Amino acid sequence: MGFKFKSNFSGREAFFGLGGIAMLLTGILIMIGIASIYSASYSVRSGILLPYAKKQLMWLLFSLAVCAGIVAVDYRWLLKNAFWIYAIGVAFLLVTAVIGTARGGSRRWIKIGPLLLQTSEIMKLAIIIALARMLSKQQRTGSIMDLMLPFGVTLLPMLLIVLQPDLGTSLVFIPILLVMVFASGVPIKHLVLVILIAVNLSLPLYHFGLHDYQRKRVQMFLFQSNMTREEKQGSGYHLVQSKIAHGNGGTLGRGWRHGTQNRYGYLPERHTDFIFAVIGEERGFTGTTVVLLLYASLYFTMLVMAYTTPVPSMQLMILGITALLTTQTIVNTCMTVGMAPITGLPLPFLSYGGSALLFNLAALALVISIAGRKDAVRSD
Amino acid sequence: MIKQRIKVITIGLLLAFPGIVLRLFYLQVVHHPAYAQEATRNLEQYQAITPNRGAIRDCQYRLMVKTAPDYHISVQPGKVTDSALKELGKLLSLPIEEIIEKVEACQAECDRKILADLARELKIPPSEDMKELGGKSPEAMAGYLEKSKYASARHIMKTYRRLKQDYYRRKYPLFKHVSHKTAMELALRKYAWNTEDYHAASVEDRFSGLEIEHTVARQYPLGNTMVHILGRVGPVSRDEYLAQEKDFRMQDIAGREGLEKTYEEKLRGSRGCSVNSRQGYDFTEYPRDGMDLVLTIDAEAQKVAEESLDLMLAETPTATGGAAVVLDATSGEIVVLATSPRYENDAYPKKYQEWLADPKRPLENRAIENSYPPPPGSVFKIMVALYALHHNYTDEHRGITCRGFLKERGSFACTHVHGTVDLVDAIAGSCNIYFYTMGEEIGPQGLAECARIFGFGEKCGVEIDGEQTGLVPTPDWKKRALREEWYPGDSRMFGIGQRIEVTPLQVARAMAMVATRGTLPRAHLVKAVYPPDYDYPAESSSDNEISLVAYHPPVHTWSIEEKYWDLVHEGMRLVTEGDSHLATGAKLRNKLKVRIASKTGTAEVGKDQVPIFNVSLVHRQDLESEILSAELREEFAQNHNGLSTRATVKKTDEDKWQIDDRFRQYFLITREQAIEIRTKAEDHAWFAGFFPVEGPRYSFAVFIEHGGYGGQSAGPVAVDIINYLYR
Repeated sequence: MGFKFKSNFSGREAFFGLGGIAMLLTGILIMIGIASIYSASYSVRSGILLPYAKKQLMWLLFSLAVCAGIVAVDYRWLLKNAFWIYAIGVAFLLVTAVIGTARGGSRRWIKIGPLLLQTSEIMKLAIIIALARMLSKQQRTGSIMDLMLPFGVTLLPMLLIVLQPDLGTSLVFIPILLVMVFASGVPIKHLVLVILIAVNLSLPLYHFGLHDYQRKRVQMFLFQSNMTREEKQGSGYHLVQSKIAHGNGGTLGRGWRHGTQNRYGYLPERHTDFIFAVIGEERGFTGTTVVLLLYASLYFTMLVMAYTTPVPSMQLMILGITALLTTQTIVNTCMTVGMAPITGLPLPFLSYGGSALLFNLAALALVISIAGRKDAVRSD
Repeated sequence: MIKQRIKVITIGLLLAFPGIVLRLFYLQVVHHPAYAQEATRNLEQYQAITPNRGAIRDCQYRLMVKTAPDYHISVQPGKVTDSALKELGKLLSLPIEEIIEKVEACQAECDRKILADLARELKIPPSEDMKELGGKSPEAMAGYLEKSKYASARHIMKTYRRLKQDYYRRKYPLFKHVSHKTAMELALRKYAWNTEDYHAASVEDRFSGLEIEHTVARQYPLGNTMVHILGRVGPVSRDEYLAQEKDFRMQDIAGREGLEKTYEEKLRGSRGCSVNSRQGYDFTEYPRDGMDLVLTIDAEAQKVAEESLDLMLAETPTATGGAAVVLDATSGEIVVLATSPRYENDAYPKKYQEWLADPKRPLENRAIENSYPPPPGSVFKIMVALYALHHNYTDEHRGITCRGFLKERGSFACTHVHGTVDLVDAIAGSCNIYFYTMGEEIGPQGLAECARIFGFGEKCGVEIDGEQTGLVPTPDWKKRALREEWYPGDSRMFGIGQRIEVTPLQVARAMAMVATRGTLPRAHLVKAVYPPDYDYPAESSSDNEISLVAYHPPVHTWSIEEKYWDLVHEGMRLVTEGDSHLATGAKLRNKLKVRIASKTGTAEVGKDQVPIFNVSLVHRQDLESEILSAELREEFAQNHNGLSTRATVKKTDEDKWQIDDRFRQYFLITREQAIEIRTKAEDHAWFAGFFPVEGPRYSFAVFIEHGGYGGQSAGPVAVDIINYLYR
């Protein structure tokens, strides 16, 4: 069966029901993001305003066009071809490993014309589709061996991404896998066993698998209350300055474009990974709470959508996407307040970064696409 | 099933977010003031203002160490213009080519650093490729590296430009130590202070890219004297900086040795700063300069002593070092504390290894420390005499017959055949037989007590590091350290001042006790600490400084009958004034301008009993001369637990020499090594006492290491100093 445009798609269901709420919340978040990026892209020292906000806006328009295409495609076509999508994702990763473009010591991108494509972003969506199909079609024997296939399918791309090296991104796969496997109804004792094994493996991995700078970041996080002068200037700098930015905001914030940590450049990576600290400084506790509330509402809406969707494969897909976005949100916000080690994960919809925005919106489009078709599917 | 699990997931999600909100509440609301303060501090630009380090002056307020401004001209290679260099050439009256050459050298250094950093940042192994690239243009380099798989050409160019911008904007020293006048001239022209509109931003900087850097340097107006006492300053180490205890900055200097180290806190002062906030306020806190030290040392006398010692060392080939100490006998003020050889303060870091290896050990302050602590020799007879008189072992009438030796056989000999001598003659003629007898009668415990009364075996507590305690031997000590019994012979040797180990400062202090009739003074170097802007009077007098002088109470006093002191003083007077055939220092009499009471000493090293290994082996390995190879030394140290021991150098065969230590262990050594050890066998020379005879004011001790006979090498040095002080 070829794919049909607009097949059984209900616009009312997609845009005015829960889907509409999700889109509205995302829209607000993106607007907050662009405003913060605008504030973060000015440097008092050099007096230069970098065009990040404009670029992000252009990416938004481009992403919306792509999303329209995704919504138009019947997601069942994607599910049917899950294996091929997965294969293409892995192939992209392998190609990246061979002819990819390196930056800052890691090889994560391939060059397509003027665009740099981070191939692990494709893999994130591919793994969600692949797991959704696999877990919904799997014949259960009731033994722990049922877990072998989903875990194997996830670990292969993870390994490829770790070798890039990009530890942060590869770790996002774990919550996706766990949430989807858990939701698919696997016995809890099996999951607990697997998690215990993973925890036991993590200590040797910490000592032998991590780079020095990664271990240093974990140490800085664990011992953040007693850093030396040198560490505050060195490996602990991001953490210290981010906390100062948040704390400087107070209850109501310093005001948009008035955060000194931000404007004078003390906050590193402020338009990307530390955009949440910019919001914390300029909008204060009120601003951060509102942003977190928006995120929580968005993900809650998506979970409700999963709950009300009749078909397991659909539910799993929505859950996977929710897990993907939630993990990035929680890890990023926690890292800026010193509740998690510094990793290079951006904040979905808020951080500057074209391909991240594109793929996060694409994931959301997939959810909308499912929401718009659930009645049609039920009637099939 | 799946719906149940979605509910669980939802609950999990709803629990995670409030956690973050709580943390944010803690950061943003509870701890807002502290973080806001830190954010404000981020905005402030601190400009530290270094205080002037305090000066060190001698007892006549002559400057010995001072801090002087030091100016350098530095260049920013990326900013400097040809016209600026031309102007500089005019200012320094140097040809422009020379200056351009220097700037180009700076640029070459920059380029080298940039390439090294580039290699590191791009993770390109610093191979020969990089070296080849060094000379080529960055474009060519990028083209070359494009082929390599490490990075793209564009990335390389970007990194290169960033590094270049960074390095070329930094300042590099161009001319160091330029004169104050030149620096001011440059500053005036650079900032156009002589024009009326220097506030106007439009004034063109004619020296763009050139900066004047202002630092401070320690200067020594009196030259290379007293290096061991004054010590030196050095840059703050990384550890000190990180320890943050004294709030050091990276470019700070701190006292490293001597008084500079001991009085670091006082000399340093406290730093000021000017703060420029970007939010529009600034303030300045002025630095508090360091305090000045005024020493008890008389710089002129010190210089006389040092020169005299240097001369004596040059004239005496066997001598390896020397020291001279003069104390104010009543107050314990150290007037002279000279040592020779000395290192040069200016050449400190460069020649350090050379000094370490030097067998004459210029790093040692012989006045208070010695890798091979010397015995005082006959000088100690004075103390034995006083102790013997007080405890009735002898009196002024007791006579002991000296036949030139104690027994027919054995090593207890005297220098002359003195005949029957009483105490006064025994002191004047330094009769060994008399004091062998005293030593044997008093016994080891009494002798040790006697030594301790006169302050031996304990530190004098002078204000600089490195002082040694010396050694007062006892039977217990001998058993522990040498695993041997105490023989009566040991008591005899102790009685003439062998076995015991002392420092020249201890001897001078003991002589002060003899001079003052029983008061052991507290030796000290620092008379007073003055505030930095103190107005020094032209002449030092006791009126104006009494309030600032720290009180140094005597260590202890010892009361014995006056006539005993008279008796011993008489003996000491006769050392220079007695019959020339008997008195050991008779040859010095004509040279002296003042009558003195003194005692010569010849500390036996033993003709073939040479101290090679002793406690210093363990503690001061750096000062060991290269007599033995490292392995042998280590073996020795292990066998003897690093304790004091002596060894014999023997010739066994044609050109075969060996060291034989106390435990009958043999080590073969070369002929050259044997000769070097034997040179050390020359006796140590001592000359100590006090002057003038009536109403003694100063006590002194002069020590020449391996200087031979006391009156011969140590005496003349003492005469030079005494004559200077009573000129």
